This record gives sequence, C-alpha cells and structure tokens, in this order.
Amino acid sequence: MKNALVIALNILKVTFRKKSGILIYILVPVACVLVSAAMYSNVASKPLYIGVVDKDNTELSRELITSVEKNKKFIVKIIDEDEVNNMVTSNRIDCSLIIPKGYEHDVLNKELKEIQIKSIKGEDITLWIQNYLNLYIRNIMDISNASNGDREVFNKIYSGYKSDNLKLEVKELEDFSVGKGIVSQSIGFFVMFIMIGATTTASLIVSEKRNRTYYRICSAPVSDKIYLLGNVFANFIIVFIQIILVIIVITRVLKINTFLPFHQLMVILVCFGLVSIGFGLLLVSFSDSTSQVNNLGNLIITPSCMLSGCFWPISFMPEIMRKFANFLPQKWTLEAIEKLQMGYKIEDIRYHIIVILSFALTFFMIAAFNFNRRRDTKNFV
Amino acid sequence: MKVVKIEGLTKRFGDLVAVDNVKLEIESGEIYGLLGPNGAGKSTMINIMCGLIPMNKGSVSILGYSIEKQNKDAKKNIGIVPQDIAIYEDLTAYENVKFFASLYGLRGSLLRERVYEALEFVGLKENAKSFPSKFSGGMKRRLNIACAIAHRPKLIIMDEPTVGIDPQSRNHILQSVKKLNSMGCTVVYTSHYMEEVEEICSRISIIDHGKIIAEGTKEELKSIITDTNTVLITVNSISTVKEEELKKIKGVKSVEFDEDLVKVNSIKEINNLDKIILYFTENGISIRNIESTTPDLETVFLTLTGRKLRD
Ligand SMILES: Nc1ncnc2c1ncn2[C@@H]1O[C@H](COP(=O)(O)OP(=O)(O)OP(=O)(O)O)[C@@H](O)[C@H]1O
Ligand SMILES: [Mg+2]
Repeated sequence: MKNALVIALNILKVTFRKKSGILIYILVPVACVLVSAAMYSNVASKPLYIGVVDKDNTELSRELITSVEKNKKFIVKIIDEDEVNNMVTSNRIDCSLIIPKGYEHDVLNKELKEIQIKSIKGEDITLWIQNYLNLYIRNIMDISNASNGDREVFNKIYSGYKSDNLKLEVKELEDFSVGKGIVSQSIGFFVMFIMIGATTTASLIVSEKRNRTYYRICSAPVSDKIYLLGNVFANFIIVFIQIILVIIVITRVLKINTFLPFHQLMVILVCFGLVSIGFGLLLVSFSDSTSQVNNLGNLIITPSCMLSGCFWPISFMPEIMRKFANFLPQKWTLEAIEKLQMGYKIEDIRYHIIVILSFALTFFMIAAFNFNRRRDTKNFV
Repeated sequence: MKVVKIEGLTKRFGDLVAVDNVKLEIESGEIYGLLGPNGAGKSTMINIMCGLIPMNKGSVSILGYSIEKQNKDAKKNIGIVPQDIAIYEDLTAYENVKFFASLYGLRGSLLRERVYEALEFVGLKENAKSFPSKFSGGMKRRLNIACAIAHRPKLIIMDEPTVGIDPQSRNHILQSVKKLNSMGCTVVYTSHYMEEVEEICSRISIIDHGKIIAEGTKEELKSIITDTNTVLITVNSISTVKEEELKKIKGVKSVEFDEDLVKVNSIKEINNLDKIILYFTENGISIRNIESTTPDLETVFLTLTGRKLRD
C-alpha cells in the first residue's frame, strides 16, 4: 500500500519534471474546456425569444408577462395558442410560455401548479426561463400566503415587491440567467476532455513499459495491483487538479454561473474522473504503445460523448440511442449535473453516483485482470 | 542453504520452448555463470526467477521462498540488473536509485545512506545530481547496477551487464561483481562473453535452446573436452582455407576462424598434425605461425553444440 504511494509520487515527479508535462497534462486540457465554455457563453448573450400565450388575461397574468419582459435576456411575443407549434418549429421563437386559464385565481387561492414551457431546443433553453419563472412564482406565492386570500393586502405587498425588491431580484435573476444552456454544453465538453486527459495520463504506463522501469518495479516486492493503484493515485491527482482549475476559472474568472454549488459539481466530476482513469487504464491494458492507446481512445471517446449528450441535449436523439446511452457513464454524469442544477439535492442523485462509481469499479477490475493475464506477452526481453 | 533452487522448469511461448526442463541449484556465495548464445533462454529463465513471468511447469525457490507462493519474500532478496537499461532519464542518478530502493521499504536516513553507498560502489557518487541523459553508455550501465544493489539483496542477478560498453567500464563492472561477491552476495551472471564468465564465475551452466547442456566449474567443463587437442595456425590468406576439407582429415572435430587464425580441434589420441600441415602446404597457403593450446569455454561450447557462441 505504501508502495502505491511511492509509485504515485514518482509518476508525478517524472511527469512534471519537464515543463511540457505541465503543458500536456494540465494547461492544454484546461484551456480547451475554457475556450469552449467562453465560446458557448457568447452564444448565450443572444436574447431568448419567448412566445407567450395568455389564456388567463388578468391583472396578475399581465404582471407576469411584464416581469419576464423586464429581463433583458428575454424578448416576449404575445401569440395565439394555435400558433405555438408553428412558431416554435419555424424557429421564430425559442420557446413558448403558456399561462393557464385561472392563473390569477390559483395564485390568490394558493393553488398554483406549474406553468407550461415548450421548446424544441432542449431542456437547456426551457431550464433557463423555468428558473426565472420558478423564482417569480415562489415570490408571488409567498405574497399570496402572506395576504391569505385578501386581494387588497396582496396588491399592496405586490406593489411593494415590484418597486423595492425588484432591483434586487432583477440583479439576482439576471445573474441567474447568464448562459444557462451554455454551461450545460461546456460541461459536456469538459466531460470529454476529462476522458481525453485521463487516457493521456494513463498512457504513462505504456511509456514506462517501454523504458523498462516497469520491469524493475515489478521485480521489486510490488504486485501488479499495487502498481496499478499507484497509477490510479497519480492519475487521480492530475485529474483532480484539472477539474478544480476549470471550475475555478469558469466560476471565478469567466464568471459563468454553473447553477449548482461548487462542491456538488466537484463531487460529480471527480466521480467521473475516476471513471475516466479506469477507462484509460483499461485501454492501456489492451495496448502495447502510446499511439495505440490514443487511437483506441479517439475511436471510443468522441462517439460515446455524442451519444450520451455531451454536445447536444440527449432528448434530440432517437429513442433507441437514448436507451443505449444508459450504458455510457457520461450520460449519467450529465444527467446528475442537470438534476442538481434543477435544484435536486445530492441525496436525490445517489443512484446516479452509484452507477457512475460502478462504471469506474468495473473498468478498474477489467484492467487489473487484463494486466495480470497479459503478463506473459509483456515484452520484457 | 541453497540460494536458488530450480526444478523441472519449463516455459513455452506458443510453440517455442524457451526453457526446457531445467534443473539448477546455486549455493550461497557463488558467482554462477549462465552462458549461452542469443535466444538460448537466459533472460527468460531470469524473468521467471524474479517472478516477472509465470512458468508452465516446475518450481523455483529463492532462499527457500517459492517465487510463486511466497512471491514477496522471495523478491525482497533479489536485486536485478536487467539486460536493457531500466532507469528514468528524467530523474537524477540519486533519484533513480532512491526510488527503486524505497520500493523495498527503505525510508529516511537509512535510505539516503544506502543510495549513496550504491552510487559510490559503482563510481557515480560525483554524478549523483546529474541526469542519465548526459551519461555515457558505461555510466548508464553502472547506474543500472546501482539501482539493483541499494537494498542490499542476498542474490544479485545480472543479465548481460556489460553489453556494448568500453573496456574500462567493463573492467569496473567485473571488479564490482567480485567485490559484491566478497561482501557476501550470491551472483547469477549471464553473458555470451566467454572471457568474462571464465574470469569471474565459480560455476557455469552452458545453455542452448532452453536446455542446460553442461554444468560445472571451469575445470570440470574443460575436462569434458580434455580429449581435444587444439592447433592454432596463423595464415596469410584465410579466405582460401576450406572448413569442409579440414574436417575430412581424420580426427578433426571442428574448425574455427578468427581473423587470420585457424583453430583446429582434434581428438587427442589421433596424431594428425602432419596431415593438417600437409593440407595447408598442398593448397599453397603459407603458414606464418603454428601453436598448440588447451581448450577454452568457447571450444567447449563449440564441441557440445557444433555452433559458435557469437557469430
Ligand atoms: N515474450 C515473449 N514472447 C514470445 N517469445 C519470446 C518472448 N520472450 C522471449 N521469447 C523467445 O524465447 C527465446 C529465448 O529468449 P531469451 O531472451 O530468453 O534469450 P537470451 O538467452 O536471453 O538471449 P540474448 O542473449 O539475446 O539476450 C527466444 O527465441 C525469444 O525469441
Ligand atoms: Mg537475454
């Protein structure tokens, strides 16, 4: 066990002794993610066109529309219900918001259920406006609760809320709405780069085989498994640094909102980091050269990321492919992050975390088994 | 106490039998030579002895520990000098030795002490802070050895540690093998350089095609062929000498060529010197010098296998 640490430290030392090590294993992966994040957030600054169908047509429903209009990120078009599908499909609006009949009544009687939002651009878009609406409705329901069905009291508090709190709220909301969908896609890229990064680091083992030091390590009282564990440690530290750096730069420097707390994003991505390391070691256990590792990696990483929704929302894909995506760890990772963004607690996604970690464990076990099986063919002489 | 005990060891790579039913016992304090041509199976035997690759049949124990069942105890006692240099180019000489020694559980000041001791032993103490990428071939070989001895193993296995280096470094290495041995290490030494093995080994196995074809001390091995008489003939134009023609002479067992020297090995009882000289004079090949010698291990190998150790 101690030897695993000795080996891990040595790997890190050998890797980062050269300046190019820092470049290849830290700066390049981090830069790639940041570039894609920055690119997508530019797209985000384009306003969102919202087609609003006001079936209620009351004072409160008009208030709702005004409050949406106030946000610079949204441009509101009042449309008829039968226009909705046509407008959405022809791309004249990004999504539609339907205020149900009886909205005002429901608000005042504290019975409001959800407000429907439709889009074909995927959840990213709807989430964005949904977040905005949720906040608005939460406030208005609070007011409704406080006024206890008394219309007069309600109006009084509401106008106060509009004038006094609006500034504050708007600020909060605006911050909230910057580049939502965007981040979700950048996280898709990030997930892909974590995988690529992990395969690159895992291929350190192959180069170790090539320069024979592996031979010497194995002739010391060190088992295959300890050696592998040492590699996992070293890889883990590298991946961990990558993840922390990216999250810090995204949230602190680029000031992109990730819609979930730092530590939650960290937990999920670190779990996925383990999967990637397992995947990298798996590739290495099947390969004899660094280029073989990289080729196999390219062959698998990009397509599986496409299928699991790293580049576009998974809901765009046909049913059968979505089913298939269940066998891909990226899908579970993205879904977990999405759920957290929607306000689920970390306990609510424990099933996802278990699935992700199971992927990691499976990969580790196959890799260990394969290393042992191929001991013979390792070219020692 | 047997330091190495190998019984019925067999290793196959597909159809190729790389090690074939080998039995070998090495006593404490020996320098044991494994002599054989390329592909004889020396490195394969060593890889199995170090527990690096599995065997198909047989058993290997190091200081009484089975390499299969008590893998860690056995490995702790071994220091291996691989045939291919196994060091990190991106770590200094000191860091290299330190890393490998720490895998044997050495820590702290003891570790530091042993690392310097090993570097001093191979004559690299002054280069402790330099990177091996700046080293000569001989220095790298010496570092390769230092990495194997810092943990003070009882058994040191050296797989052709002198390949491709200058005579001076080679001498240094041979001397250090002797010194290690005098300090109580048992050494297994493989080579296809006859002279090295003759110089330092107390016992020798001659290996060919995965089999041990002869075993014993130098003297014992040479006595296998004391019925051989070797004549060395220096000639002017060696290209005109025909091996087949010489072999036709009664009593001649084998013929070797070395630059302008012809070595003719014959059965001792048959006196054929006149016939051999006659062959040269009849074919108009002028003889510059002629002498008779006792056989060396090269001749032993040639006699046993009909082939030379190196081409
Ligand atoms: N991993 C392997 N897979 C297949 N064949 C192998 C493997 N390792 C060795 N061999 C074969 O086994 C035979 C013995 O090889 P080995 O390396 O043990 O010889 P050697 O005596 O060390 O030779 P050399 O003096 O060249 O080092 C050779 O024919 C070699 O090709
Ligand atoms: Mg060899």
